[in-house]
Amino acid sequence: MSDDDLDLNALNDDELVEQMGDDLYDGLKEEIVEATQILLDRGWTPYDVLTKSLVAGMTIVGEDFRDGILYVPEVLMAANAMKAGMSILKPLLAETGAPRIGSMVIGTVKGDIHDIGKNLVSMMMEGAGFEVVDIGINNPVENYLDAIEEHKPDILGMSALLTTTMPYMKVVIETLVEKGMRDDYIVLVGGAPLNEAFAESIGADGYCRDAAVAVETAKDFVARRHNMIGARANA
Amino acid sequence: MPEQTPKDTQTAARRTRSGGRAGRAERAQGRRPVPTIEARDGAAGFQHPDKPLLIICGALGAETKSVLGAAGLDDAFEVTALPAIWHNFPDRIPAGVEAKATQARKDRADRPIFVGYADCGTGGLLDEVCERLDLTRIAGPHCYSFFAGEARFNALAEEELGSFYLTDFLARHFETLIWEGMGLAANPEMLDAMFGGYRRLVFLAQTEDAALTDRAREAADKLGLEFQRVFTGYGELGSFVAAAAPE
Repeated sequence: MSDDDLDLNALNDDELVEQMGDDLYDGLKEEIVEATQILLDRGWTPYDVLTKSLVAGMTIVGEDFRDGILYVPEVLMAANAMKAGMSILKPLLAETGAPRIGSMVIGTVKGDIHDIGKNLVSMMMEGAGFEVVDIGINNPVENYLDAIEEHKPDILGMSALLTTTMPYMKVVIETLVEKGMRDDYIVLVGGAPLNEAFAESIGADGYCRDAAVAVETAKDFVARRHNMIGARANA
Repeated sequence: MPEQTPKDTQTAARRTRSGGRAGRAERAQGRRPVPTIEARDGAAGFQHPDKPLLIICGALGAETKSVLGAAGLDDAFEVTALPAIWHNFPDRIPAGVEAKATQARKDRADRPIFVGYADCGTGGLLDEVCERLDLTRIAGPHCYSFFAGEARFNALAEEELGSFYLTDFLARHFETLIWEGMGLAANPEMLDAMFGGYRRLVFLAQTEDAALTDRAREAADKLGLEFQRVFTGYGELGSFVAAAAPE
């Protein structure tokens, strides 16, 4: 039997999780859907399927993307495969009240239609257990304000690919400051021409150089935020 | 056989298992490594420390040569280029320019150095290098803007935000730099995910070259975009080298 004809049902749990890691890496959507269902049928909780197979697999994809081993299309394939698995898990996670790490509104800024990086961040954040509201491309400040008003996220994420559009992030942050809303949200920014110094200069909380870093940065900020809230409650 | 459309390539592709992470080394064999400044420049010094140095993007080689020739400045500069593929890896440009400039100044500390790059996606980091080392670069955000002129480029972007731009160089090397370089050759089914936001390809032509226009049009077809050609000539590249030339 060739590797492509592999019977996923015949694998034990450890082997199947390992195979899912490989299949995510190779961007095999149907195989990920099948394996996700098999683990659920074997009595795994949706949360365990998410964290121990999909998130673990995408972490490796993220690392290899960061290290220049994988290219953007390959990561998109992997993220698409993960999304297919997530489509099974999402309703079950909601039903079972699985822990939700945090929430994020994300969009590409006004004047910019580039969304590959943003889409990757969205998918990988979802895979890491965040609830993500993606407001798409070419967003004026009003769109960000409307979305955060409606969804009350922990994090506002902004993306830009162009040197000419990245200054618009400052417009959004200054508007938040003017409205007295800046401290209500963690603001993370990313995009090819950005860097730490730029993020700091516009008053963002963090700069994320790629999708894997975005997930780690978001987890870190949300954990700190929850700790602060917890500390205040206990004071 | 009818020409394959982007839609065909998306539906025709069927992915197979290739060993996950463990199989990556095998898959990576066919790829060209992205050159580093060390690999490209080696330890070689420069030959003409008496002349100003022009550090250019490899994608501007032919254009710079033409501009210098037309202005009678063939011998006015020593010209050195950084890898054109860095168009896809702009984070490498500032360090590359700095390494070249530092090397050149070892021979002559006060050597004038000009940089044939715009900001080119470096997010101000190239400017930081230029300021620190007293280098002069071409004004503007990218080569599309300095070829077309800022006002015309802004008008094109205003007219259709979803515009993807090619220059002569990028049209000539579309297969290598865009189709293969962005990973689409191996994963054509990802075309929509990567180019779905674009509506048209604008070919900013530096020269009157019918064959090159055909190649740019083929690139647009391959990406599933409308095609538009705008003749720009060499734009502000010409005035940049003229201003940089020694008296």
